Amino acid sequence: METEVLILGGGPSGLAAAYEVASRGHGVMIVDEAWALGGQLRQQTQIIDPIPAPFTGLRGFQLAETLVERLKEFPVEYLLKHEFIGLFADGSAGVSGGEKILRISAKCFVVATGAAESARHFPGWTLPGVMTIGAAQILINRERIYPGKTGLVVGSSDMALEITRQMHDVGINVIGVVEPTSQILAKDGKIVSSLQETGIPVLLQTEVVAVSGSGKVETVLLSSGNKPGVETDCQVDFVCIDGGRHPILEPFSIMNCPLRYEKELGGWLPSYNGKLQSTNSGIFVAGQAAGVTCQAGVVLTGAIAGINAVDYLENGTAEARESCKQVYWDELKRIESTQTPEVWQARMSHMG
Amino acid sequence: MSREYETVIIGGGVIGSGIAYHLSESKSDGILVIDKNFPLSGSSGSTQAWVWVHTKTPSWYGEFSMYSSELYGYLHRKIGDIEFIRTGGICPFFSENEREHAKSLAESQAQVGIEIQVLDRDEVLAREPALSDKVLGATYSRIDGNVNPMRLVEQYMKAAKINGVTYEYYNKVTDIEKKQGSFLVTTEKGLFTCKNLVLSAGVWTHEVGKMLGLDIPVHPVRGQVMITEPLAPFMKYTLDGLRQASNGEVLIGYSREEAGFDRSTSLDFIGSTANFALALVPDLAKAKIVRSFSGLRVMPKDEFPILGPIPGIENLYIAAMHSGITLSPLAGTLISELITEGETSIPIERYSITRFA
Repeated sequence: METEVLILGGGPSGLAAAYEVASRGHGVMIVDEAWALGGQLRQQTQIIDPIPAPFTGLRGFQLAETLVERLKEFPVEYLLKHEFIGLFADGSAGVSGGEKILRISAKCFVVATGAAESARHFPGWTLPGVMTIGAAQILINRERIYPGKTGLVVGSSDMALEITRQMHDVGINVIGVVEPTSQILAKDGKIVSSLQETGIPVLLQTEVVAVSGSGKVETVLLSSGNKPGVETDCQVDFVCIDGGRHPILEPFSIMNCPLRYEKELGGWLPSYNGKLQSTNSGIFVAGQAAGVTCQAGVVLTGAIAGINAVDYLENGTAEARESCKQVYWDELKRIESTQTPEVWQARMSHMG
Repeated sequence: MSREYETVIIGGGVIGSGIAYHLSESKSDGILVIDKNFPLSGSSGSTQAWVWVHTKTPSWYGEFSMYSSELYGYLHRKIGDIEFIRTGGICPFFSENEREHAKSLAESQAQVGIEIQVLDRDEVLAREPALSDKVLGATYSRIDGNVNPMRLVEQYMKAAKINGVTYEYYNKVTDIEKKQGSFLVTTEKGLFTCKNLVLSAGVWTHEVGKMLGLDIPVHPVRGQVMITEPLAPFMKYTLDGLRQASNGEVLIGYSREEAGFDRSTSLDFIGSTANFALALVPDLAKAKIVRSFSGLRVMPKDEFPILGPIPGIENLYIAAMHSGITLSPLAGTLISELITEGETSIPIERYSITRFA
């Protein structure tokens, strides 16, 4: 198989990149391991904000639908339920649905493989019923399954508080959010006040000592920095871990892309320049794989990477594309530098 | 500022750390190991880690490997659990021609004390039922086995440090000079001086040798290994080309490629490795492959170890070899003997670098 731009990942950044490439008349193929496009947006039921026009006011899954919908007029090829598993010696990609390996030769790649959630570790963290906060969101919003009846959330990022609210809204009893540090980590005031409306307490300086139960979560033991030596038992049937997220690195490891550590971007990630281009020239990086950020950052870096891939194919830039890119960069700067200034700064320093 | 040591070892992989540990058994301090990265980031950490003897030829090299393998029986008592298992090794054959080779191998190895049985088809399938029934026979020796290379190097390092050895990590040697009986070893993090210098930098030994004006004929040969998901134990023996680790994963690999220092993996080789595995153990068709990695074999020009003093530069030693996992206890012992006593308990002239002159 052959394509001009092979996009790894059919989430928001991959779809945004595909639009920029396909709408300029170039061939695109999107590979995704899931059976549906949209990535992690598929289980987002909240309105995505901030997000640039024309996507304002949409809920996450609607944004995914919109991004998919606007590709319909172009001859984009899709390879779902396939994973990128390696490179052949001639540089073509190997993707597999589990049985056979398909060989795809592409002129360049956009790697938009997203981020993975990090765990927090405590005794009992492998018991059934302990899951990441993102997994709980998939269960309630996508699979329509309760993760449990009574739960506890460990960690207080925006994502964790937002999903805690969603669990509350579907009738799950969340007994509390515990946060080991002395302050709530969420930065979005609206998310914090939305959680406060529910009356679910956020217990600061509190840690999970252990989770126990016979074959499943039954009890969680907490210790509070405010009351040293005192440990409290809580009866729950599930525990959600919010350990933050980190860029998925396997594709970069396969492609031999040098990595760099940027704490504010989620830890290790591929080095890239101002074109979101990896040190290996035919590889562009987009979305959470280019640093953990908000949904607007995901879509915009996807779009920018897509245009840069077109520049790469055409061996130079064009004025119209440059000004388009500038608009996206301005938006990205406006949103990231106000929402999460440390992410914007880290991104600037990462690009060097 | 210069820091003085009696002995500096360049390279902290299985060979360098093995030497550091063995030397530290009799010398309580004054030993420094310098690694440009971190031990196990190079060849020692990307290997199937067989402790393999019976097909090593000619027989003098098989004998050398056997001595080292025998030391493994004691090593874990000294440095702690390294997950060494003497599984026995099977090298299957699929043609009558190979059967003749197997018989002459068994005869020649017997002369140095390596016991090999030439099994016929039924015997080999009785021992290892997972093997393909297309097999005609195999050579088998109980001396072979495998080890966990991560544990091995870690335990060497731990034991060495308890004995007073110092490690410098992420510190590349940039220059070496010999002056008034001392080596001046310049690194990215400063200067070290020492009386004895050991070059055990694996595939980078050639590069290190150049700093002393030496042309050490060692180069990297890439090998790709693929790893299955953990499977219920179904293979008992270390097979020539694959083995099942104690955690259930099967490690498969046999490729030999000239690719310089490039440690990429390529699906071309993964594909042929998979076919190789299926021919040997057909049930692996049902297994999922979860990852693959490349390692760089340390390959001397004639493929045999380069071990011993380097003539012309006093107190300079080299230990660069393929099969470093198998040979590390012996290489460590011999270099320690050279440094502490000036002679070795078994002759090693055959392995001298002078053979390339």
